[in-house]
Amino acid sequence: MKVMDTETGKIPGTAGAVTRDTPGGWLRRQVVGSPNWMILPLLIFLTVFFFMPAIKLMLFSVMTQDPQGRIGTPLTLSHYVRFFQVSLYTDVLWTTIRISIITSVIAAILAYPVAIVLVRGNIMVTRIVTLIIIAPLAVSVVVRAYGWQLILGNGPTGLLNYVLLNLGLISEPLALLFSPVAVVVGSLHIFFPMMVLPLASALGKIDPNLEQAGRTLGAPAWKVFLRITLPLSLPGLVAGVTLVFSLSAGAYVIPALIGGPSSQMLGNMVEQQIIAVYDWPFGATIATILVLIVLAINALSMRLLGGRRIREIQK
Amino acid sequence: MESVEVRLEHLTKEYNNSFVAVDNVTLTVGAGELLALLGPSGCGKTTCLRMIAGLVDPTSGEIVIGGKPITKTPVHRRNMGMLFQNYALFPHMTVAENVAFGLEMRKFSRSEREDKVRKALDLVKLGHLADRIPSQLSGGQQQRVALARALVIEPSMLLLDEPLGALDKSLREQMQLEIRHLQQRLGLTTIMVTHDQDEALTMADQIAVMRAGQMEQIASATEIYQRPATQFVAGFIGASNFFEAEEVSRDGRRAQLVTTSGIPLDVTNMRLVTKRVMVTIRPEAITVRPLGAEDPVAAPNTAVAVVEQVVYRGFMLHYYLRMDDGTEVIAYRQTQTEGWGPVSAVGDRVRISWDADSNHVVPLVAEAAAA
Repeated sequence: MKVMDTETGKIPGTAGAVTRDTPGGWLRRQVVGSPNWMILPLLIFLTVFFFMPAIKLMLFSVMTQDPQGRIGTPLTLSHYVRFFQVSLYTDVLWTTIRISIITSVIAAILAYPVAIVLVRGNIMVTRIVTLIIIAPLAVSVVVRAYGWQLILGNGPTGLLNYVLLNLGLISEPLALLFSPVAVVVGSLHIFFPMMVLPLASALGKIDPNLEQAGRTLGAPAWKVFLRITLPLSLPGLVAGVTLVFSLSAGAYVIPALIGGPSSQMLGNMVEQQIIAVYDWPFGATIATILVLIVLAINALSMRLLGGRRIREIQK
Repeated sequence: MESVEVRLEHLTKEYNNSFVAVDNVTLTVGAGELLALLGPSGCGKTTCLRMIAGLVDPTSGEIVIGGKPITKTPVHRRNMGMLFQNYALFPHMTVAENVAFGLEMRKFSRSEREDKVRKALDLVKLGHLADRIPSQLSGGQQQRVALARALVIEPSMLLLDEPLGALDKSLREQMQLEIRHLQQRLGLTTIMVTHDQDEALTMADQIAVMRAGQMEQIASATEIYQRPATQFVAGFIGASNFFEAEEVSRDGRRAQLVTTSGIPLDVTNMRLVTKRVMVTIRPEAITVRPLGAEDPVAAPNTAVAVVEQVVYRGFMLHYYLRMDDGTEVIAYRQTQTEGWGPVSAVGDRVRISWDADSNHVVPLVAEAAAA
């Protein structure tokens, strides 16, 4: 308070006295005083290389392309109409949403025990588990996708099939590769850290005494989890699900390499339309729909996180 | 509510086969009594409490409540009310939902729950805050909600884990009396963990002083203050002056001792058989008088000292004194006490004296360790 007074030239104790604003004072307070300007370089970079191309692409989706390939007026919504009228495209939309939901739900279920071990386990276990989770991030998605090709390979020579056949667990090789299952498995592997890390961070903020209080009040361990741990970890769960859903929905490499024709996703269709068909406006339409889905999921999660009870948890 | 007796039998907790947090603790808390586990941090008192709650598994030993061993009973079937230092209220539930949690686990109907929650909140005078969430309450209110939540399940006993440590002094004293009053009214057998001796003296029927996982002494507040069993207890509860002394002669319980610095002591209760003992004298038992010319020299239970510091503590004056051989002595004087003569100032040479009854003998530390 006192600092403010000297800055505006107001002498404390002389209310109503002349207020002299020193020249450049405003600028100093706004720019020098706050570190906000430090994000300027990034902002410029993003504007030129991300926001502008993205906006341009979205504009393409309401434009027409003439036979020479020039994109321009008249403006039209016909690409969107076409997208939702042709079952081939809506099928891909549903495949994308289905695979993303299944991936995030399975990731959440698998991530809870891992995150709990990360937070409550002893230091050695924590370190090893962290390493197992983080290490795959060091390997390119493409390399990992080819790895999954070897493991899931159809026919008796695929690694998984080979093992299962030799163990006598199956009599016929499974057709895993080039199926939605393969895409879910691959996406899970790649996006799992995005679920575990926010979840572990949220679980780490829960006071262990709360769980112990729940136990002394008569709740068995599973009820303590449902009534105390789960609701209190919701911020992490919502963040993780949002991340994994968004990343899975936008996936391109995984469905392209191990998905096969039955599990192509929106990302692959964008590529087809733009590279193979050379239909920029329709490719842009699909891309825009993908962006809208991801934005909608993010908006929903922001809303959930903004709820009163969740705000209380985060305090 | 029926009061039950609680017994710990040879309770031991070892971590990784090396660190012994609780070492062979045996004690009994009478039905409806409040026992305080008192000791410095790391003495094993909290581990002890958590073993009773079922949150920590004992390495060996037995916990018996109302005659039934419960050592193998899982936490959620032990039916104990527990209060935590940081209250441990569920932040995502309202006050009423917090209190109702234990009732829900016990499958009470909605109407029964509402009725019991209201009664429990009225008991702690918080009925009007039922719909608040914990973060909207003050520390004292939060601990009352925690108390209501622990009491509403009609627990067989109450466990308090430094429940008032986070409150400021005046509120803490008020809550101490309040919890004690409720505990006595409900006849609820209670074990409390604290490192605050005042809290233990204020609230407890029995005080169990722990040190390095072992029980030093279990006794009533007066017993433990007036007749501490060991030097550690004498030093931990209240302040004490210590003099190492050797027996010169003994006649029944009366004995003549002489300290290492040559002060003769009369002891009326020589309860130890050893010749070398530690004599403890409470600071309030020591009288400080200006050194007069007619001063008797070498009478028992007196000594000459220099005033090094006088601290004014409101109703008490604390004198920090040093005897000629360098031994430090603390003496307390009530501010209004008559008969201490003029107030002595820093640098004055004074005569300190005390009653033979004030000399309390405890084993010498070295011998206590050997035993």
